[in-house]
Amino acid sequence: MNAIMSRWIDDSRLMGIVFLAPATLYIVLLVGLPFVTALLFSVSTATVGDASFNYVGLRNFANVWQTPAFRDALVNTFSFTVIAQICTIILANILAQLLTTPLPQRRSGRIGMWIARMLLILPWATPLSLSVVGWLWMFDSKYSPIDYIFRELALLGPGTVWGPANNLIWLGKPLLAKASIIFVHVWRMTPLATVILMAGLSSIPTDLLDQAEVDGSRYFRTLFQVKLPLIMPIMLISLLFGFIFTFGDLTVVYILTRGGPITHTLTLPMYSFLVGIDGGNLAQGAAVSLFIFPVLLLVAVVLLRTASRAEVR
Amino acid sequence: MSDVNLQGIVKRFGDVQAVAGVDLHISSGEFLVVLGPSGCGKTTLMRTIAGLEKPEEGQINIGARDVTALPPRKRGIAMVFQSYALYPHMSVAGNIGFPLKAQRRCPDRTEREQRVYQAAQMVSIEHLLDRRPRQLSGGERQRVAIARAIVSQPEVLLLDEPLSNLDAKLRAYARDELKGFQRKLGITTVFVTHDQIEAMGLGDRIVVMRDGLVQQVGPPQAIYDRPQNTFVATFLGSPGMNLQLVSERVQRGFRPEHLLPLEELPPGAAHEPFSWRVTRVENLGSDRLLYGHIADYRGEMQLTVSRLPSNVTIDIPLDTVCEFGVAHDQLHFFDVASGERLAEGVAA
Repeated sequence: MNAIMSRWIDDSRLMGIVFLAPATLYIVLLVGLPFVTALLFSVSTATVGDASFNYVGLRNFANVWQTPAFRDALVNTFSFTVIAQICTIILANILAQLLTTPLPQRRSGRIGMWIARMLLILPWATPLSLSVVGWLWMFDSKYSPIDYIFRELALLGPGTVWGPANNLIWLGKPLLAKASIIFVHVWRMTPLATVILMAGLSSIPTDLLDQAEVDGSRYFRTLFQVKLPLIMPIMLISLLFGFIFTFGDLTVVYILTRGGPITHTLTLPMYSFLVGIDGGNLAQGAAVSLFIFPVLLLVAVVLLRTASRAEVR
Repeated sequence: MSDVNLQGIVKRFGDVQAVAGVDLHISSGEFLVVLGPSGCGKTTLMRTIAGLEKPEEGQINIGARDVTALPPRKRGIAMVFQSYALYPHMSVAGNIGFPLKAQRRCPDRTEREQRVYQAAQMVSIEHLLDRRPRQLSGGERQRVAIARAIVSQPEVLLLDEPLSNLDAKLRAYARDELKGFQRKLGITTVFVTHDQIEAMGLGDRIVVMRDGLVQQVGPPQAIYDRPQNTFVATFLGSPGMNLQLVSERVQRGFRPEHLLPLEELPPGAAHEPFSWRVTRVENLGSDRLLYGHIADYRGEMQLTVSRLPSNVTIDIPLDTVCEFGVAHDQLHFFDVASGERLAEGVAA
């Protein structure tokens, strides 16, 4: 018995298969199968009520492409993602700079820094659906605390700049709704990006920064010509991570606006959900969601190539 | 070119005194080597001159200017770090030109390129200007670091163990080159090292440091010939000086190369005789090292080393009592408690 066991354990081929099996199974069952199903649905006439397979070629894609709502969703998905990523990376850079600035060696300073870093990570640590519900209340059309602050500052209400209404109705106006969605994405992604950038900044050898100082470089030159170029690969990784998260996100839009007003905040995942699940048209829903795929594939390829190159350096 | 004057420099990190009150004058154009074991405060002292550390006490003057409170960029210094600290994302030309851009002293692009080229030429790397640091060898990187340091024509050049990352063969060559180059520019140079061979070979003067304090300052040969205390005596020389208690209060020191077979001593010289058994011989090619034990005044055996140059071919049998001696003028006497050198005659 023991002899057989040890023969198996020494067989690296067999053991390789055994060790890889759980991960392979996981990927095949939970990623591969749904993906293939989506591919099949997208070229069929499947609905929630009738999953029988009738091949219709690319008709679903053509139909979806001609829907104005789809065009809106496409534009929104890209613009939300790009704008949110730009804001995130700028904010994260500023925060990471601040949080890696050496403080005077005082106890209060160290505790303060610790608290600041912990607070920073909270938005990332909170379950997204819960925190977005929180934001739903923040943007409430009547009881929004943001509106309350603006009213107290005499910016909102009768006879003020943004008056005479007492509320901005964040999620009810196209531009404000878009801004709200982007804001929540930025709020959500900034912590992770900051932590990644902080890791990058602290990996810069201190010799190099001392050298820049001796060479006569001041703060902004050191920042833009030494620090940022050095953390560029890691920054790109953080950017692409954020891109993937934001691009494929359903939660924020679903909870805040469900794509409204009308289709002004509709995104591809949201539209796919509305058509495929709420509307019951599995085939078209699948077609919509498959538009996301090539974009994410491209981003993932760039991401992995950047990551491997960053490792070499 | 300017002189550098340090007065009562103290630098603390928390409770640790890295530099514990250093006074030092570095003449214009001098090549000064700061030598000491790791942790002796030599690098901190250099970083204080550079302005990367602010001293708690003391004053630093470069030329006539008090620079104690000035940031590095206003001190007219340049520094080469042990790691060379080349900017990995810039070309060699970008690296060398960086101080010129940063100090905004050379706004004209053509002139800047010209000065970068000249600096590169000075250390013979003008053919590497388009390369990235990672494409360079250790020796080439060191040259880039030096070119970057001299391009802005600093008043003082600070070098933090710049040769320690080179392999042994290259190091001897780089040492020679560095010295020749410093002579040519006549630039005031402070060179930090823990390598006594580098220190002896390069320095116009050597500063020996220990625990944040200067132990001795002087020309290399003077320090070697007349060490001020037992630390300097044993730190310099390879192997260091033999030390031996001759009474409760006095210890006697002599260098391994001065412990010689009687027949090798200068004829007629007054000498101290030593009878000892050699227990081990190391043949190093140019020298022979003899190890054995000699009793101190209490009769306790102490490890003692003798170094015979290769032209002394006399046969030394192992574990046999041999008659050796040290010329009287090669004996050094130190106070046991303080380790300080005793004036000649006091010991006798």
